[in-house]
Amino acid sequence: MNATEKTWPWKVLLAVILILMAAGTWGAVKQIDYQWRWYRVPQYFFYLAEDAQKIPFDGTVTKVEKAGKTVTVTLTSESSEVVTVQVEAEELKVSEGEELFEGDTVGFSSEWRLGPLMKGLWTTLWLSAIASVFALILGLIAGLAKVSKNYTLRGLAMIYVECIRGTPLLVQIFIAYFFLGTVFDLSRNVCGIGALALFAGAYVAEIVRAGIQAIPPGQTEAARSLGMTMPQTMMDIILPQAFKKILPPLSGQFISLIKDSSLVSVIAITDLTKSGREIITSTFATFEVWLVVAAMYLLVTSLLSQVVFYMERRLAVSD
Amino acid sequence: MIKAENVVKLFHGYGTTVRAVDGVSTEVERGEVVVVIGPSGSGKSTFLRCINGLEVFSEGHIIIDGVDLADKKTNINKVRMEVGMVFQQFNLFPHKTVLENLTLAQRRVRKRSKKVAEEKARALLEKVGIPEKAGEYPSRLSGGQQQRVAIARALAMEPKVMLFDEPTSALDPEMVGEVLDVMKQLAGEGMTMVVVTHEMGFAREVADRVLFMDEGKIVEVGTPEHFFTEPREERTKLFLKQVL
Repeated sequence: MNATEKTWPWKVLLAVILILMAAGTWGAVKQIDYQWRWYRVPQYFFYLAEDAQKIPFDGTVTKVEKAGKTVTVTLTSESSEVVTVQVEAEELKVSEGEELFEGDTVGFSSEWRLGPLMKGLWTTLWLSAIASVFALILGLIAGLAKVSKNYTLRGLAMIYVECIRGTPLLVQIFIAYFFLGTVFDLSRNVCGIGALALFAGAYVAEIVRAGIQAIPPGQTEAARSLGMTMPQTMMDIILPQAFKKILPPLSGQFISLIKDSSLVSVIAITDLTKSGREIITSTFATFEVWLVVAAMYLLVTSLLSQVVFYMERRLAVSD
Repeated sequence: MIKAENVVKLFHGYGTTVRAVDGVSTEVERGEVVVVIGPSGSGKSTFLRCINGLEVFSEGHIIIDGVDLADKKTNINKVRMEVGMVFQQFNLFPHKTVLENLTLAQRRVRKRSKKVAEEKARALLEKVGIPEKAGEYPSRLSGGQQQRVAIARALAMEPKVMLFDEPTSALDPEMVGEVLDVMKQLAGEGMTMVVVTHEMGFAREVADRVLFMDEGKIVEVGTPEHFFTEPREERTKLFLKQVL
């Protein structure tokens, strides 16, 4: 490329194309007369929950202490049992000395809670994290088996990889849940994580195999000629170098796994995708919710890309 | 020290079998420097690699310090501790610093403490003339420096025998000297060495004995004087005419 070539016309062109696409979408949505309700979305991230605080017995209000915005109410039962309750000052429904019956409302306390979108995101994250760890372990074992000299190990690894890569993940999740889950009495979470880990593990195995084979045989020969055993050679020489080489494809695989985890919503695991679907049934804000859900996935995957990019630079010191 | 008896190494291709090493018998005494020369594909590197078990030979015996490699009960890793090897392509571990390259096998195989291993490593770096590069990664070193590190790495295991597989063939011409100097020094200290090389000057100057191999067989054996002044075999004469 010519060093003096101007880049701003291309930046303008990019901006124009993006604006045109946005305008086109907007115009098309206008046509169908969709009612946007963005204001309904934030409450599904965080919401202020109000809980009624009730007296657990028949008794009297013995003390009402105000401290800032909250009030501490001390209740004493007929058998001299003492209970204290904290409520919002504005929501206080009783006064000192008042007699109450069991179940009467003393007041309301409020608290910020995570909405379904955040809970769903959390489920997606831990589900993917656990599945990733197992996928890495499985992939490492299967990858090592694929380069092993032992025929049986090679055969097992090959069958595993071929079966998993040759069938759709959705079908695997159904098999894991409806067949294996029933036969071995496994919970839906175990089935979901298991299916994801097995699926990603097959791809990780191929990545690991390629990474090991990309290391020049001279490295193994040098290590072995110094008297190191094959396991020592693997641990100290081959795998550290291979890991550096396979980091980019490996991170791509884990990003895929986060996205693929949306499929476990079909076995009623309330991940981000299923949360989105549930919100839609109560709000009919279909467009908004799916766009928000997509943005949340995008946020997570780009954060992961950034972390990997940082790791790659750290590992590049010996190059 | 090393005794090879009728060593044969076969490579099986699709429908063809190549006799890379074809009945080689020789002996290397303690403290002797043997240089193996010969044209490409003559099996000299393969024979060398058989000596430390990087290639498993098909027939015959190689006995190192009384241990027969052909014996199924022989622990090859034990043998390799005593047989250092230097490669044409250096094969340093690129993800480890020079010092770590030298200490790794000492610690893993010889089970030395970090302190002892590092002392040994620094002394050897001093010996090969690059003590200041201990903390560098191999990619920051020149070819000659890398090969000297590789020699130091093999020496760190305190081997009884050193094998050199064309140690200067991948080097820029101006760096060949520094590596040969280290090897000469080593020979002078009485190390048992088997060197596969195309450096005829080194063979003439340092070798106690020269083996000439062609087509997997030893064609001629002799002292350097005999070899370079009055070779007996026609094949040897032809080869020497081409390389000298």
